[in-house]
Amino acid sequence: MNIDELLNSIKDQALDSAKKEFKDYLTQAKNEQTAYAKETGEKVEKWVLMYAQKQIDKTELELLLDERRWTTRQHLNTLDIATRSRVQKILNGLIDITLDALIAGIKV
Amino acid sequence: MNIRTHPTRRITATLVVLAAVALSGCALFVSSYDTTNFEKLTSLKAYHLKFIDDFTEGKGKSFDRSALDKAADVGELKFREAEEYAQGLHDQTRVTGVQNLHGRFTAHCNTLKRSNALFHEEFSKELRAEIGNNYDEAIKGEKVRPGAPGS
Repeated sequence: MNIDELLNSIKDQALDSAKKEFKDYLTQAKNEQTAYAKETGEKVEKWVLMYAQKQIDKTELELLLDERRWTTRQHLNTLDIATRSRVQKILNGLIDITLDALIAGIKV
Repeated sequence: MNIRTHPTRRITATLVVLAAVALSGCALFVSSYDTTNFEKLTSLKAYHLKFIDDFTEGKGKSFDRSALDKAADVGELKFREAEEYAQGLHDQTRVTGVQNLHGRFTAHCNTLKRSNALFHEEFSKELRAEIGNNYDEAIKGEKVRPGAPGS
Protein backbone atom coordinates (compact mmCIF):
# COMPACT_ATOMS: atom_id res chain seq x y z
CA MET A 1 0.00 0.00 0.00
CA ASN A 2 1.28 3.47 -0.85
CA ILE A 3 0.13 6.80 0.54
CA ASP A 4 -2.24 7.55 -2.37
CA GLU A 5 -3.93 4.17 -2.00
CA LEU A 6 -4.24 4.79 1.72
CA LEU A 7 -5.79 8.23 1.23
CA ASN A 8 -8.18 6.88 -1.41
CA SER A 9 -9.29 4.18 0.99
CA ILE A 10 -10.58 6.85 3.41
CA LYS A 11 -14.19 7.28 2.31
CA ASP A 12 -15.40 9.67 5.00
CA GLN A 13 -16.32 12.86 3.08
CA ALA A 14 -15.83 14.97 6.20
CA LEU A 15 -12.11 14.20 5.83
CA ASP A 16 -11.83 15.24 2.15
CA SER A 17 -10.39 18.62 3.04
CA ALA A 18 -7.91 17.14 5.54
CA LYS A 19 -6.81 14.53 2.97
CA LYS A 20 -6.17 17.24 0.37
CA GLU A 21 -4.32 19.43 2.88
CA PHE A 22 -2.19 16.46 4.02
CA LYS A 23 -1.29 15.61 0.41
CA ASP A 24 -0.44 19.26 -0.35
CA TYR A 25 1.85 19.58 2.69
CA LEU A 26 3.47 16.21 1.98
CA THR A 27 4.18 17.19 -1.64
CA GLN A 28 5.57 20.56 -0.55
CA ALA A 29 7.84 18.96 2.08
CA LYS A 30 9.17 16.34 -0.35
CA ASN A 31 9.81 19.00 -3.03
CA GLU A 32 11.65 21.33 -0.66
CA GLN A 33 15.30 22.10 -1.41
CA THR A 34 16.52 21.16 2.06
CA ALA A 35 17.31 17.55 2.86
CA TYR A 36 15.69 17.96 6.27
CA ALA A 37 12.29 18.93 4.85
CA LYS A 38 12.38 16.05 2.36
CA GLU A 39 13.36 13.62 5.11
CA THR A 40 10.48 14.88 7.29
CA GLY A 41 7.99 14.29 4.46
CA GLU A 42 9.33 10.78 3.92
CA LYS A 43 9.26 9.98 7.65
CA VAL A 44 5.69 11.21 8.16
CA GLU A 45 4.56 9.19 5.12
CA LYS A 46 6.37 6.09 6.40
CA TRP A 47 4.91 6.37 9.92
CA VAL A 48 1.35 6.91 8.65
CA LEU A 49 1.72 3.80 6.47
CA MET A 50 3.16 1.84 9.42
CA TYR A 51 0.09 2.84 11.44
CA ALA A 52 -2.27 1.84 8.63
CA GLN A 53 -0.51 -1.53 8.43
CA LYS A 54 -0.74 -1.94 12.24
CA GLN A 55 3.04 -2.02 12.73
CA ILE A 56 2.64 0.79 15.30
CA ASP A 57 -0.45 1.89 17.23
CA LYS A 58 -2.08 5.34 17.43
CA THR A 59 -0.20 6.38 20.58
CA GLU A 60 3.12 5.38 19.02
CA LEU A 61 2.33 7.30 15.82
CA GLU A 62 1.49 10.40 17.90
CA LEU A 63 4.74 9.99 19.88
CA LEU A 64 6.82 9.72 16.69
CA LEU A 65 5.18 12.80 15.15
CA ASP A 66 5.78 14.74 18.36
CA GLU A 67 9.38 13.51 18.36
CA ARG A 68 9.85 14.92 14.86
CA ARG A 69 8.45 18.27 15.99
CA TRP A 70 11.18 18.45 18.67
CA THR A 71 13.87 17.37 16.21
CA THR A 72 12.67 20.16 13.93
CA ARG A 73 13.08 22.68 16.76
CA GLN A 74 16.62 21.40 17.26
CA HIS A 75 17.26 21.64 13.52
CA LEU A 76 16.06 25.27 13.44
CA ASN A 77 18.22 26.12 16.48
CA THR A 78 21.24 24.63 14.69
CA LEU A 79 20.42 26.57 11.52
CA ASP A 80 20.32 29.74 13.61
CA ILE A 81 23.74 28.96 15.12
CA ALA A 82 25.22 28.09 11.71
CA THR A 83 23.93 31.26 10.06
CA ARG A 84 25.19 33.53 12.83
CA SER A 85 28.55 31.70 13.02
CA ARG A 86 29.07 32.26 9.31
CA VAL A 87 28.33 35.99 9.58
CA GLN A 88 30.52 36.21 12.69
CA LYS A 89 33.47 34.54 10.93
CA ILE A 90 33.20 36.95 7.98
CA LEU A 91 32.90 40.09 10.13
CA ASN A 92 35.64 39.08 12.57
CA GLY A 93 37.88 38.12 9.66
CA LEU A 94 37.30 41.48 8.02
CA ILE A 95 38.04 43.40 11.22
CA ASP A 96 41.10 41.27 12.07
CA ILE A 97 42.71 41.61 8.64
CA THR A 98 42.07 45.36 8.69
CA LEU A 99 43.58 45.79 12.14
CA ASP A 100 46.46 43.38 11.65
CA ALA A 101 47.63 44.17 8.14
CA LEU A 102 45.72 46.69 6.08
CA ILE A 103 46.17 49.77 8.25
CA ALA A 104 49.93 49.43 8.07
CA GLY A 105 49.83 49.64 4.29
CA ILE A 106 47.62 52.71 4.03
CA LYS A 107 49.66 55.87 3.47
CA VAL A 108 47.95 58.75 5.24
CA MET B 1 48.49 63.80 18.54
CA ASN B 2 44.68 64.00 18.68
CA ILE B 3 42.80 60.77 18.03
CA ARG B 4 39.88 62.79 16.59
CA THR B 5 42.01 64.37 13.92
CA HIS B 6 44.68 61.78 13.13
CA PRO B 7 43.22 59.55 10.35
CA THR B 8 45.08 56.32 11.18
CA ARG B 9 44.20 56.47 14.84
CA ARG B 10 40.61 57.39 14.04
CA ILE B 11 40.28 54.31 11.80
CA THR B 12 41.96 52.13 14.41
CA ALA B 13 39.68 53.41 17.17
CA THR B 14 36.61 52.77 15.02
CA LEU B 15 37.74 49.23 14.25
CA VAL B 16 38.53 48.52 17.89
CA VAL B 17 35.01 49.62 18.83
CA LEU B 18 33.57 47.42 16.06
CA ALA B 19 35.66 44.47 17.23
CA ALA B 20 34.53 45.03 20.81
CA VAL B 21 30.89 45.05 19.74
CA ALA B 22 31.47 41.97 17.62
CA LEU B 23 33.05 40.03 20.44
CA SER B 24 30.71 41.18 23.20
CA GLY B 25 27.59 39.24 24.10
CA CYS B 26 25.64 40.90 21.30
CA ALA B 27 22.69 38.68 20.26
CA LEU B 28 23.97 38.49 16.70
CA PHE B 29 27.05 36.57 17.77
CA VAL B 30 27.39 33.01 18.98
CA SER B 31 29.95 31.71 21.45
CA SER B 32 32.89 29.67 20.21
CA TYR B 33 33.15 25.89 19.92
CA ASP B 34 33.43 24.18 23.29
CA THR B 35 35.06 20.73 23.49
CA THR B 36 33.43 19.86 26.81
CA ASN B 37 29.94 20.64 25.53
CA PHE B 38 30.62 18.54 22.42
CA GLU B 39 31.72 15.63 24.63
CA LYS B 40 28.69 16.01 26.90
CA LEU B 41 26.33 15.85 23.91
CA THR B 42 27.98 12.73 22.47
CA SER B 43 27.96 11.08 25.90
CA LEU B 44 24.25 11.92 26.39
CA LYS B 45 23.47 10.51 22.95
CA ALA B 46 25.16 7.21 23.80
CA TYR B 47 23.35 7.02 27.16
CA HIS B 48 19.93 7.85 25.66
CA LEU B 49 20.24 5.34 22.80
CA LYS B 50 21.33 2.59 25.20
CA PHE B 51 18.41 3.53 27.46
CA ILE B 52 16.00 2.98 24.55
CA ASP B 53 17.71 -0.33 23.69
CA ASP B 54 17.51 -1.49 27.32
CA PHE B 55 13.79 -0.73 27.51
CA THR B 56 12.79 -2.33 24.21
CA GLU B 57 11.12 -5.74 23.91
CA GLY B 58 13.49 -8.62 23.36
CA LYS B 59 14.00 -12.29 24.08
CA GLY B 60 13.92 -12.94 27.82
CA LYS B 61 13.29 -9.29 28.68
CA SER B 62 10.50 -7.99 30.91
CA PHE B 63 9.50 -4.57 32.22
CA ASP B 64 11.43 -3.73 35.39
CA ARG B 65 10.10 -0.59 37.07
CA SER B 66 12.96 -0.29 39.55
CA ALA B 67 15.54 -0.57 36.73
CA LEU B 68 13.62 2.12 34.84
CA ASP B 69 13.55 4.44 37.86
CA LYS B 70 17.28 3.95 38.37
CA ALA B 71 18.13 4.60 34.70
CA ALA B 72 15.83 7.65 34.70
CA ASP B 73 17.58 9.05 37.81
CA VAL B 74 21.06 8.52 36.37
CA GLY B 75 19.96 10.19 33.11
CA GLU B 76 18.28 13.08 34.93
CA LEU B 77 21.55 13.87 36.72
CA LYS B 78 23.53 13.74 33.46
CA PHE B 79 21.09 16.12 31.74
CA ARG B 80 21.04 18.52 34.69
CA GLU B 81 24.84 18.63 34.68
CA ALA B 82 24.88 19.29 30.92
CA GLU B 83 22.27 22.04 31.29
CA GLU B 84 24.18 23.70 34.12
CA TYR B 85 27.36 23.56 32.06
CA ALA B 86 25.62 25.03 28.99
CA GLN B 87 24.15 27.84 31.09
CA GLY B 88 27.65 28.69 32.31
CA LEU B 89 28.74 29.33 28.72
CA HIS B 90 26.19 32.18 28.42
CA ASP B 91 24.74 31.35 25.04
CA GLN B 92 21.01 30.64 24.91
CA THR B 93 21.24 28.63 21.68
CA ARG B 94 23.40 26.06 23.49
CA VAL B 95 21.03 25.90 26.48
CA THR B 96 18.03 25.50 24.15
CA GLY B 97 19.70 22.52 22.47
CA VAL B 98 20.37 20.66 25.72
CA GLN B 99 16.94 21.48 27.17
CA ASN B 100 15.31 20.02 24.06
CA LEU B 101 17.18 16.72 24.55
CA HIS B 102 16.49 16.68 28.29
CA GLY B 103 12.78 17.09 27.55
CA ARG B 104 12.87 14.13 25.16
CA PHE B 105 14.58 11.90 27.72
CA THR B 106 11.99 12.84 30.36
CA ALA B 107 9.17 12.19 27.86
CA HIS B 108 10.56 8.74 27.02
CA CYS B 109 10.88 7.84 30.71
CA ASN B 110 7.31 9.00 31.34
CA THR B 111 5.96 7.02 28.37
CA LEU B 112 7.49 3.84 29.78
CA LYS B 113 6.24 4.62 33.30
CA ARG B 114 2.69 5.23 32.04
CA SER B 115 2.54 2.10 29.91
CA ASN B 116 4.30 -0.18 32.41
CA ALA B 117 5.69 -1.98 29.38
CA LEU B 118 8.80 -2.07 27.23
CA PHE B 119 8.84 -0.23 23.88
CA HIS B 120 7.62 -2.33 20.94
CA GLU B 121 10.43 -3.26 18.59
CA GLU B 122 9.09 -1.51 15.46
CA PHE B 123 8.30 1.67 17.37
CA SER B 124 11.63 1.59 19.17
CA LYS B 125 13.53 1.34 15.88
CA GLU B 126 11.86 4.51 14.61
CA LEU B 127 12.19 6.31 17.95
CA ARG B 128 15.89 5.43 18.14
CA ALA B 129 16.53 6.81 14.66
CA GLU B 130 14.56 9.96 15.38
CA ILE B 131 16.18 10.81 18.71
CA GLY B 132 19.52 10.03 17.05
CA ASN B 133 18.69 12.74 14.48
CA ASN B 134 17.89 15.18 17.27
CA TYR B 135 21.29 14.55 18.92
CA ASP B 136 23.07 14.80 15.57
CA GLU B 137 21.46 18.21 15.03
CA ALA B 138 22.54 19.38 18.51
CA ILE B 139 26.09 18.08 17.95
CA LYS B 140 26.19 19.82 14.56
CA GLY B 141 25.12 22.99 16.40
CA GLU B 142 28.38 22.76 18.39
CA LYS B 143 30.52 21.84 15.40
CA VAL B 144 29.45 24.84 13.29
CA ARG B 145 30.58 27.34 15.91
CA PRO B 146 33.64 29.52 15.37
CA GLY B 147 36.82 27.77 16.40
CA ALA B 148 35.47 24.25 15.85
CA PRO B 149 38.04 21.75 14.56
CA GLY B 150 38.12 21.90 10.77
CA SER B 151 36.10 25.11 10.58
